[in-house]
Amino acid sequence: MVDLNPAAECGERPSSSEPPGSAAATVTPPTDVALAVSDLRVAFESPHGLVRAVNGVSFSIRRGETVGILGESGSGKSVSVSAVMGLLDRPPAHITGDIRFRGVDLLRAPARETRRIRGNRISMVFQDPVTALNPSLTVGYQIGELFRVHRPGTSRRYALREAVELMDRVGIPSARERVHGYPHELSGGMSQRIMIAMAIALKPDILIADEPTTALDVTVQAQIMALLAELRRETGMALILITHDVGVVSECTERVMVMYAGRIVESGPTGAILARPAHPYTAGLMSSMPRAEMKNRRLVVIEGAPPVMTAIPPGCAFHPRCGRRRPLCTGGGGPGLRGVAEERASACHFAAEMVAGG
Amino acid sequence: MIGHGLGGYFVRRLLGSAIMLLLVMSAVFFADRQIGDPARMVLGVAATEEDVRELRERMGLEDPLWVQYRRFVLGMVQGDLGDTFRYGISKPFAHGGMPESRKTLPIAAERLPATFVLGGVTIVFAILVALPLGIYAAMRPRTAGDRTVNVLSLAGVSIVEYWFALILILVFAVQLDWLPTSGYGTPAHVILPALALSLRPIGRITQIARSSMLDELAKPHITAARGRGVPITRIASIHALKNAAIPIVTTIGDETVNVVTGVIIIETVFGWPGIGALTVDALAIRDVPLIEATIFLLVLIVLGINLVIDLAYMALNPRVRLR
Repeated sequence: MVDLNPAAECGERPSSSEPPGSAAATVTPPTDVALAVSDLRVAFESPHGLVRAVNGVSFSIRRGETVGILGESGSGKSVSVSAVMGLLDRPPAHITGDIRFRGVDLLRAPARETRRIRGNRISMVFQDPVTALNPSLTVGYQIGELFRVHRPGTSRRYALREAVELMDRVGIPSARERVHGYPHELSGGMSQRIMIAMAIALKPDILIADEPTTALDVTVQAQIMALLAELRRETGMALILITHDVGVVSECTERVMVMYAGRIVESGPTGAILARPAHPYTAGLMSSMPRAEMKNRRLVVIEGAPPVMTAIPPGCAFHPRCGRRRPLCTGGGGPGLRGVAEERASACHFAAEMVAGG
Repeated sequence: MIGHGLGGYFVRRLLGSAIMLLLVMSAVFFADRQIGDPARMVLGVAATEEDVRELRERMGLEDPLWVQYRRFVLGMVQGDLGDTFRYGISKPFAHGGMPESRKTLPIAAERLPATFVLGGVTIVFAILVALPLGIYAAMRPRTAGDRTVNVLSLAGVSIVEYWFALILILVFAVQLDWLPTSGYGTPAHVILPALALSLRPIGRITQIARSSMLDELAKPHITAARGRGVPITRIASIHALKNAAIPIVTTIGDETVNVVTGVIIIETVFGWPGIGALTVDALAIRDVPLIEATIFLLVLIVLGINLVIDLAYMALNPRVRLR
């Protein structure tokens, strides 16, 4: 496995020795599936036409596993999890497909039913903790509110005590005093710890972390990732980590899904993929990462820019930027996600070639 | 920092208010001297120059301007704006009987309770109507309900108060005979003037509540709260409203000030014995000290409202709160 980030952000190296399963990564035994997404499509009405943000994404999350969703901005990774969390207003969003959590159809169940799952069984940590906290409510109120909302009858005092305990747990010093403080009195890193405290408050089955360190100082990024990994180990919840950082994926995840132009273009065990990517886009992302041994060398960049989502290229959406482009890649519906090795899948015509080392 | 900051703030704040009061009252003082000869008004066109002159002397109008001004400023400091010109000469006012004292400030202050009742009912009614309307519209942007609220609030802002007051009297008092046309004393009397006065505040507060709630509901912390499964009613009434409160409170303050100025006309239309009607009467008979006393109290009320708004800001925004 290529060690892309020697900083060891997560403080642990997840074992990639998954029990041998079925060939395609999207097929998992139904018993331990926590979340199943199939053929998810999200489009937004806009003055410039329909923005096709997510175009047929299928994946499932097993209990307790850590999955990375890797991709550039605009690849549809945040929109996909926002659909899971019910955060997209319909309209302007048009959502089709199927999202199931423990038998509940999250796209079609009544709002009061899905509301009981959000924040309770599936929770989310956002990119910018400073704007994700309400500036006018004390942190204790905001944490405590979770108990009061999801466990009706919880007293104010009990909620506050739980809030202090959670703040202690996520490493906020003098939690007893800070629980009465306001978000503006906290640093970015502390704010993100509050967001994490809220996300784990009701011991969810799944925690979705959407670029949880992007808005933070470099010095606290590693601490936050380590905290997430530690809490995941302790609670046994599944962690979905959305990032554009190959290093974070490498350090913190067991499995990864690479997204491009609203599709999953590659998925499989993190170690195997980073050792031998089966999609040119994954390879491109990896080689555009700075590495210690590359001192004084220019970074390799992926030529061109991600497509405009109102006009996704025909064929493989990545072909205009791809070094392996052949006439075959530029037309038709593009290659689908196909199994290439044990638990691995790729949406590239040359996946087998790449894995074989071509 | 604690206490000292807050105390310093109040000292600065009160000083500013005092300067504002002095400036406004000075403008009133000099304007007063331009509205015609009060002595001639009292004595009528048939009076001799001699009589007019004598009365002017008794009114203190023959003194040099700077002497009058000094007396005026010192009077304000001591809470004495002089005697009314008309007391004992003729029945001075259209409303109410003879005042107990000749001092203008007590005469004007006697009218305050009636004005406070009308203004209070107006602004409370306006808030109770406008806030739910604005929040309702913000939660359903660009729907039929939102558009209806928009049109109504625009109408509320645009309709002229005294015209609306006359329409109200015509419909509810004259044609339907449900409510009295004018007067004071029973709850029924307050309905029409309060309705007439509340139209503009309802329109403005609705518009501001809608737009600031709309801004607030689009913020990331609202999305985050939704992601935590917080019910939408709770998100609107606690999470969004708490942040949208500052522009809304500002507007409520502005509109309360507008109500204070609005009572001048509306009290006259409805024969409401408040300080607004007294101001109009005092102007009509050129009772200079009484004009000054009513305006003095109105300015004090406006400054008081602004102080309350500032205190509300501190209570609402933890980032500017001085602890």
